[in-house]
Amino acid sequence: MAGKGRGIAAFTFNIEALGLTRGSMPETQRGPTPLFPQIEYKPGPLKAGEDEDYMRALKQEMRGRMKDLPFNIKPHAGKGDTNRKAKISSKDKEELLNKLDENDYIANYFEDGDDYGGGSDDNMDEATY
Amino acid sequence: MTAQEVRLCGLLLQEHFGDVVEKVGTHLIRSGVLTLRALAYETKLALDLVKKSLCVLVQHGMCTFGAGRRGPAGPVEYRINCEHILHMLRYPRYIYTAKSLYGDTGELIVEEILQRGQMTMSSTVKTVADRLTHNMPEGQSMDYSEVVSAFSRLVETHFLQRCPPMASAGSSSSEAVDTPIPALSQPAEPESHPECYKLPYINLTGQGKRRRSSEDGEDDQRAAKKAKTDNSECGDEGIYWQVNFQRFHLHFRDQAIISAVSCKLDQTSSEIVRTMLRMSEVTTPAHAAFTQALSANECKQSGIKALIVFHQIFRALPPSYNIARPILDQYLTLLVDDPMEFVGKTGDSGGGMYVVNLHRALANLARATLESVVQERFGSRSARIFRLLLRKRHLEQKQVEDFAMVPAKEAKDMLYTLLSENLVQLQLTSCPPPDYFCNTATRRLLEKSQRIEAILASLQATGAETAQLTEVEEMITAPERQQLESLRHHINKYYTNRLDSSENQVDETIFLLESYINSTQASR
Repeated sequence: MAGKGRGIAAFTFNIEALGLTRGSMPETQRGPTPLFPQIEYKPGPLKAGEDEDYMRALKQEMRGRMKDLPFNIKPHAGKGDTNRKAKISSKDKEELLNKLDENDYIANYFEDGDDYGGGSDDNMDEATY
Repeated sequence: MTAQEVRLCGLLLQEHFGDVVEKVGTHLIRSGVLTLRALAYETKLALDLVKKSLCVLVQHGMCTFGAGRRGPAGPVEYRINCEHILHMLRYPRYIYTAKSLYGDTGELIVEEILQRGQMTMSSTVKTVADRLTHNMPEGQSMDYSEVVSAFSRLVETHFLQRCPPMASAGSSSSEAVDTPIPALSQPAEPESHPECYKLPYINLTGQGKRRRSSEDGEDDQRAAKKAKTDNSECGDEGIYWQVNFQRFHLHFRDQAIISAVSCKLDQTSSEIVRTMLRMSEVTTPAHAAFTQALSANECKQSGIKALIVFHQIFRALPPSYNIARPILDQYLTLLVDDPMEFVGKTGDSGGGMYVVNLHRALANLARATLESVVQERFGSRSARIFRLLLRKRHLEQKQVEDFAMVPAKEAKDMLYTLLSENLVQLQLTSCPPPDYFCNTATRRLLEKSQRIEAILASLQATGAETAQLTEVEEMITAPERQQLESLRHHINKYYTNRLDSSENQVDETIFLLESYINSTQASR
């Protein structure tokens, strides 16, 4: 049923019966809606001053401090392993380092160009020619 | 409670007390009233974790308990106090106010009590004296008596109050039988307790101790624990103090009015209003003012605050304001004539009888706030339309066009926009997307540092040695560390700091609007 007219979108309902016209349709989506709404007028600046800075610092300090107080209830960690000491073997360390380098970036994006790094010759062990 | 408020409460609980308390708290908010067992069952959390969370919430006045539906013989039920949770947003403002009124000592007293929910006077004094001593030059220390004096002033001016006494549920003495747990539906009002502002006699002399070791966090806890166990020696055990939020809110409200007068008129006018507000402070209850001269009904309807006679104002002005009587008279006339209606004149006896119109003042402040919000979000023309609507209440679209002097199509669009937005809703819209400033190399570095931090955290949790921790830390090279540091600085400067400051300032606006709403409900 759809697409009877070539290249013209056909609706599965009778558009005139609803009292609508083709022209009143909203625009087709061209991608996901933006994460933050577009605003026409930028908001005014925040109040800035000694008082505001001090209160902001108080807020940040409190946030940090309250995490260390006994009121911050931690969920149960695994049972009975609070005293087990972790040992990092050299094998584990290598594994860790490899894990850190795992990513899907194209490696040569990070390469420096050939002309890069014609830097200082100080503190070089080797002689320069 | 709106969905947003519930969500905000959850976030605040999580930020201050962690995920477990957040889960318990949020569930209680949504369910209303629950017993301990029901709460544990429904949240699927271990019973002891739920107990601890409830203790934390009760300690901070964010949860009350009482006899449940089955009466005193049945299980105790718990109810959340959402207002108290939302007050956490305002902690910096409470602390800073205490600082402005009572100096560093006052500041630390309020900060300690806020962080711990409730404290005895003696343990507060010791903890604060220690903290102040820590910041003093070597050889000096803060005497307990100074801290006691600041504490006393805070109590006398009602910024601190005794916690309402709990029924002794756990005691096995015969007294417990006679003091049943009150029904949950009637939570104890602190001010219903006659000794609410009575200072206990404490036997406490000495000075703050200077800490020697470098770990501040541990010492705080150790000092607090020690202070707690030393309570019984001082004579005030069992007497706990909490911050009186209502009193601070009164102060904020007065400040808002005073600063509005100062902006609109001048400093001297605002000092006069401040004097008037202060004069009526201790004698009048929060929402209404009742005087001997006027009938109670009249006062209630117009929401006035204490009737103050001209001579009283003159005598009560701060000595630095050397105003002659006729000049004071002129200032008062100006205040009375001002359209903001902060001050009203109700009689001529005694040189003139004046009142501060609290409700009127709050209404005007709220209106000004709304107008300014509309102006910022929708522009000055929309603001003009909005102001019109506020004044005229009902206007047809044609009338709007005419009065606001705005062309028809624009008026139609603007009206529709204003309508479709909920006009009393305030939203932060200035936050840009979080990582638009990041290029891929920076992002890789950030991810690496996050993974290292996670590894470090899990190693620390399982008790790794310092040497091993250092090994892991060194996986980030020095130049990488520098880059991370400057990135963190950039984030803090442009995002974190502004977001945190915005939180504080949005709360100020919310407070104004809430005060207005509360004053309309009280005057009914």
